[in-house]
Amino acid sequence: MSTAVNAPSRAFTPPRLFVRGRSRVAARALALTPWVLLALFLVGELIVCAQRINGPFLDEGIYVAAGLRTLQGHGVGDSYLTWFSGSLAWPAMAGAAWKLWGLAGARALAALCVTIGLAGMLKASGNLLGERVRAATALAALTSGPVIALGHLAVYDTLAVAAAGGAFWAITEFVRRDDRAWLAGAALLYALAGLAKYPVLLFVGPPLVLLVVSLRGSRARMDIGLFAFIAGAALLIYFLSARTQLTAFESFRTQNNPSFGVTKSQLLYSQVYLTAVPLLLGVTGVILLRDRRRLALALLSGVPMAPLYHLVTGNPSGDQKHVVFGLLFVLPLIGVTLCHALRRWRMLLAIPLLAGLAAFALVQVVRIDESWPDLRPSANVLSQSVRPGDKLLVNSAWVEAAYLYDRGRVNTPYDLYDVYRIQHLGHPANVCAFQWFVDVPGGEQWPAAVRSAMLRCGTFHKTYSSSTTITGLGGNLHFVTYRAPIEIWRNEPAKPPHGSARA
Amino acid sequence: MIDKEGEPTMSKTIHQDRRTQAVGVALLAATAWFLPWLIAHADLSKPWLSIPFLLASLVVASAMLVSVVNRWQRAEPIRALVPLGEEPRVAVVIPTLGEPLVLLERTVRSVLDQDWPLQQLRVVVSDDGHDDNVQELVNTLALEYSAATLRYHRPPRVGDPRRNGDAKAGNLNSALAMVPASIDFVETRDADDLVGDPRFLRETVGQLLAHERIAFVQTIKTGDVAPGDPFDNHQPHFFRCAMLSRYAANAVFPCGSGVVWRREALKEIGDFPTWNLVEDLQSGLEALRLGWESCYLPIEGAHAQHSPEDLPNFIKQRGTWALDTVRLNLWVSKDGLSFRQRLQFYELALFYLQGPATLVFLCSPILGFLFHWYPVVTNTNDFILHFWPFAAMLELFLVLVHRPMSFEQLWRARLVWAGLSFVYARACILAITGGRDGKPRYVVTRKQNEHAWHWRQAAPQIVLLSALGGSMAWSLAHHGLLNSFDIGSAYWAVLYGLLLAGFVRLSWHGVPLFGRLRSLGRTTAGAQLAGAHVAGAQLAGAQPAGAQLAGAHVAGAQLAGAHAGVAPQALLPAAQSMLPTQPMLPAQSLLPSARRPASTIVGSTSVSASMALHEAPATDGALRLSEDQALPLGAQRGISTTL
Repeated sequence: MSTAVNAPSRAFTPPRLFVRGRSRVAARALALTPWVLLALFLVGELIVCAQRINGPFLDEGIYVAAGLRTLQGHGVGDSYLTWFSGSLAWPAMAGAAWKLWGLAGARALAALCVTIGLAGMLKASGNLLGERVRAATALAALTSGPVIALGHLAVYDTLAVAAAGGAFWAITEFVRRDDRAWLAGAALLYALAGLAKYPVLLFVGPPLVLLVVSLRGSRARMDIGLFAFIAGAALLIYFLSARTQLTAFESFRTQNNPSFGVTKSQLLYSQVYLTAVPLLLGVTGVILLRDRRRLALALLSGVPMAPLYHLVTGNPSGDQKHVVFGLLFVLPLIGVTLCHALRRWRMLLAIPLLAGLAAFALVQVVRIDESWPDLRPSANVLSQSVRPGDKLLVNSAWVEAAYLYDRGRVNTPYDLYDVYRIQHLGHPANVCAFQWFVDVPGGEQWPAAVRSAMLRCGTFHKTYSSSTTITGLGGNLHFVTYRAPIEIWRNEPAKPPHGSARA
Repeated sequence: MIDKEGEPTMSKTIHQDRRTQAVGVALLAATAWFLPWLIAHADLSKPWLSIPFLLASLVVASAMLVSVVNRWQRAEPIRALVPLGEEPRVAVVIPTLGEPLVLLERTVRSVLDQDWPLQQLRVVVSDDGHDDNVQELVNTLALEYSAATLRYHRPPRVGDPRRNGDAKAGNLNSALAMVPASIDFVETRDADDLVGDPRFLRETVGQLLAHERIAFVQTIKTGDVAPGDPFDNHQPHFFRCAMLSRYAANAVFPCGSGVVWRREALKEIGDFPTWNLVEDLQSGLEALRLGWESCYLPIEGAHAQHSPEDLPNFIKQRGTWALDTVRLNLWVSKDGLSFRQRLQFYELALFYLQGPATLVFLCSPILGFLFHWYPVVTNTNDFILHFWPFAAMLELFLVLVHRPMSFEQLWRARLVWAGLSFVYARACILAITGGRDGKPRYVVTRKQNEHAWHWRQAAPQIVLLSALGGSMAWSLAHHGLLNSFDIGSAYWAVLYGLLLAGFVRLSWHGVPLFGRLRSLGRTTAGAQLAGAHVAGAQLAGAQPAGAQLAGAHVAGAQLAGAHAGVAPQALLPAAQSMLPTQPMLPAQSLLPSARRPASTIVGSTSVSASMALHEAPATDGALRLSEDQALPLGAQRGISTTL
C-alpha cells in the first residue's frame, strides 16, 4: 500500500485563476460557505418534506410497500428483486422511516441521503479545484432543479446519490493522499450505489474511471483494476446470493421495456430540458480549465450517460432523477464557471446568471413535483372502507398499497391488482370477484376490456370521484397542466343499485 | 503506519503495526471459519479431486498461521558505526566464475572506493574459472590501489581432493585459506555486485563490533533492472519486509552477497557448508543452531550490475532457490533453533509447498466449468459466507503485511509467484524424491540477458491459461452468464488468469512485437538460441541467496494462483561447449537476440557456457544432468597466486 502523503499533489493545486490572497477571516468564511449552503439546502428540503406538498410518487409507494414487507421478513419472498432495478436496501430504509414519520419521514431520509451525496461532491470539488470553486459549486447545486427535486423524493436514487457522491470524494482523496485504502473505499461506495440502483453503475462508472485516468496517469491501470476487483467482489456477493430472482429480473426487463406512451421526441426534449443548461455551463467550465482539460472532460463525461441510457432504451422511467448522477460530476465545472463569473464580471453578470438559474430551477422543481397525481385523498377513502381480505383492482396500485398495507387494511400489497398483473395472470381475470375497482391517473390506464367487464358485473358502484392536477410534457413538446379524474368503485352485490353510481 | 514504535531492546528497535496484526488475527479467524466448513462439505464421492483440494487448503491454512505469527513484528538494529581511525582489518572475498571482466572490475573498484581505509582491506578475487584475464585485471588493480591488499586466488578444481565443496561454497572455502587468521571479519560479495552504500563496512562491521554474538550482518541487495522491475528482482517484499520480521525473530540468513561474517562464527560452523546447492541459507542456519545471533541491516549493501530478465535464466535462478530451500527444510536438522526461529524457516518451505497447492486450485475451476465437478458440495450462499471472508482477509493481509510496497510492486511479485508455482512444485518433487543426498548439479546464473520470445519456457503457463479461458468460454456459451454459469469461480479465475497472463508476458520481455515473431522462428528452428535460453533450466544454479524469495513470500499468496512450468527442454545440446569465453559488451546485451548478428548471439551465450564448462560432475547419488564439455585453454588446477 502506498504511503500517505500530506502535501497535495500537483493535480490538486487549485488553478491560478481561482486563487488569490485573502485574509484569514475571509478564508474561513470561504471555507464555511459551501457547508452553510448545504445546510440551507437540507433545511429547505426538510421543510418541503414536512409540508407534504404532494402525495407519494408511484415509485415512493412501491418502495415503501416493499420496505414494510422487507422489514417484516417478506422482502425476498415477495420476489421484488425479480422486477426492482435495485436491491431492497433503500426500500427497507424508506419503510423504517415511513413507520416513524410517514411520507415526510421517508422523504426526510431521502433529503439526508442527497445532502450526503452533495457533501461528498463538494469535498471532491474542493480537492480538485480549491475552496473558491467549492463554494461556487455549492451555489450551483442550490440552483439545480433536478437536484432539489430529488432531494425530497423518497426513491432509491437518493441512496445511490449518497454513495456516488461518497465514491467521488473517495476517489479524489485517494489521488490526493496516494493511499489506495481510499480507492478501496470508493470501490465499495460505487458498489453500494449500484446495489441501491443498478443502472447507476452505468451512470457513475465512466466519470469515476475517467477521473482516475486523468489524475493518475500511468498508474491508472492498476488503480482501475483494483477498483474493479473490489467493486466486482461486492457486487458478486449480492448477485450470487440473490441469483435466482436477479436472473428473473433480467428476463423481466428484457421482456418489459415500457415506454408509458412517451415518444422518442418527448424523451429527447425532456433530456435536453434537464441537461442543456448544466451542460452549457459545464462546457464553459471545461474551456476555463485550460490547464486541466483531461480532468474537466472526465467530469463532463457524467452528463450524457443517463440521457443516452434513456434514448437508447426508449424507457422514460426515472429520467428526471437519473440526470442528477451526471450533475454530481458536472456541478464542479459549473462551479468553475460561476467562480469565474463572480470574479471577473462581478455582479454585472453573476447575479443575473444566478437569479436566472434559480428561477429556472424553481420552474423545473415545480414541474417535476407536479408530474404525478396526488392520490392521498383516494388512499384515505380506501383506508376507511377496505377490509382485510378484500381484493382490489387498482390500475396504478402502489401508492394505495403502501397506505393500505401500512394501515392494516390489506393482508399483503399483492391484494391489489394493477394493470400488469391482470394482464399477466395467465388466465382471464374474474373482475366480478374483486371488491374494489379504482381508476387513477399517472400510470397505465385500465384496458377497455377490464373496465367494461367491471361494468358488466352490475354490482360495482362508484363511491368516490375526484380529480387531481398533473403537469406533463405534451405531444407538442410543451408542458401542460391538466386535471385528471380519480374514481373508486365498490362491489356491493348485496345492495340494490343506486342510479348515479350504476353504469 | 507503525502504531507501536521505538521499543528498543539491547540491539534492535521493534516495530509493530496494529492494523496488520488485527487483519492477521481476522485472517486466522476467517481461516478457522472456512477450513472446518470446507472439510465438512468435501465431496468424498470424488476423492481424486476433493482430497488434493483439502490438502492444498490445509497447506495454505498452515502457511497463513505461520505467516501471521512470523510477521507479527519487525525490527531494525540500532545503528553502530565504526569510528574513523578505529577500523579493523576486513577481508572481502569475491568469488568469480566467468563473469564479464568489466563487471568484476567495477565490483572490485566499488569495494576499494568505499568509506574504509585501504590499508585495512584485504580483497581476495577467487577465480574458479582460472582465467588469466582475471588475474591480469587483479594485477592491474593491485598496482593502482597499492595501499590495499589485493590477492588473486585459484581454488582447486572441482573434484580435486584438496577442494572443500563444489561450486561457490568450494570457491569460498578455498579463498578463506587466503585470509590471515588475524582478520576477524570476512565479507563475501558476488563478482557482479557493487557496494551500494559507501558506508557498508562501517555500518556492518559496526554491528559486529558492538555485539559479539552476532555471526553475520546481511544487508539489502538491489540491482540494475528494467523500468518497473518486471521480474521482481529487487524483491522489496523480502528485503524491505520479510527480513525485518526475521530479524525480530533472530532468524536472518545470509544472502551470499552484501554480507559480512565474523570469522569465529564461520570457523565454528566449519566454513561454508557444501551440502546444499548454495551455501548462504545453510550457513546462516548452522550459525543460528549453534546459538549465534543474526543481524539484518536495511542499507543497500549490494547492487547487482546484472539481474536475470529473461525467462529461462530467471526460472533457473528461482528454481534453484526453491529447490535449495525445500531440501534444507526437509533434510537438515533444526536442532538448536528456538520455536520462533523454526517457524521462520518453516514459512520458507510452506511457501514453496503452495506450488503444488496452487496447481490444484487452478485446475479445480477448469473441471467445474467443463464438467460441473467440484471438490465441495454446497450452495452458493454457504460458499460465499465461508470462503469470501477468508479470501477478503487474505487479500487485505497481503497488502498490509507488504507495506510500504506499492500495489504495483506487490502485483508484480504475485504474478511471478503465480507463474513460478509450477517451478516450485517441481522443486518440491525433486527435493523429496532426491533424498538427503540427492544434490543436483548447478549452473551459474547467466550474466547477460537473452531477449527473445521464450515461448517454450512459458508454454505450461500458456496451456493453463488457455485451459482456464477456454473452459470458461465454453461454460459461458452453454450456460449463459446469468443462469448456471459459475460466476463466482470465473471471478477468481479471471483474477489469477491475469496474473498468469502477466507472467506469460514476461516471456517476451525486451523484445518488440516483430522481434517476438522472428525470435519464435529462431527458437523453434535453431538449437543454438534454445541452448542459450535454457542453459539454466537444469534446476541448478550458483546464484547465492538461496531462499530469499521464499522468505519474502507470505504464505497463501498463491491461493488459487496459476501454475507455471519449466519446459522439459532442460537438457541442452552440447553446442555450448563450442562457444568461446569472452565477455560481452554491455551494449550488446540490450539488443534483442533475434536482431543480433550471429557473432553477438555467440558472445551473449559465452558467459553461461563458460560457467557451465567448469562445473564439477555431480557427487555420488546426485541428480546428474548431462554435461559434455571440454576444459578451457589455460586452465590450471589448484594453483593459488599471490600478487
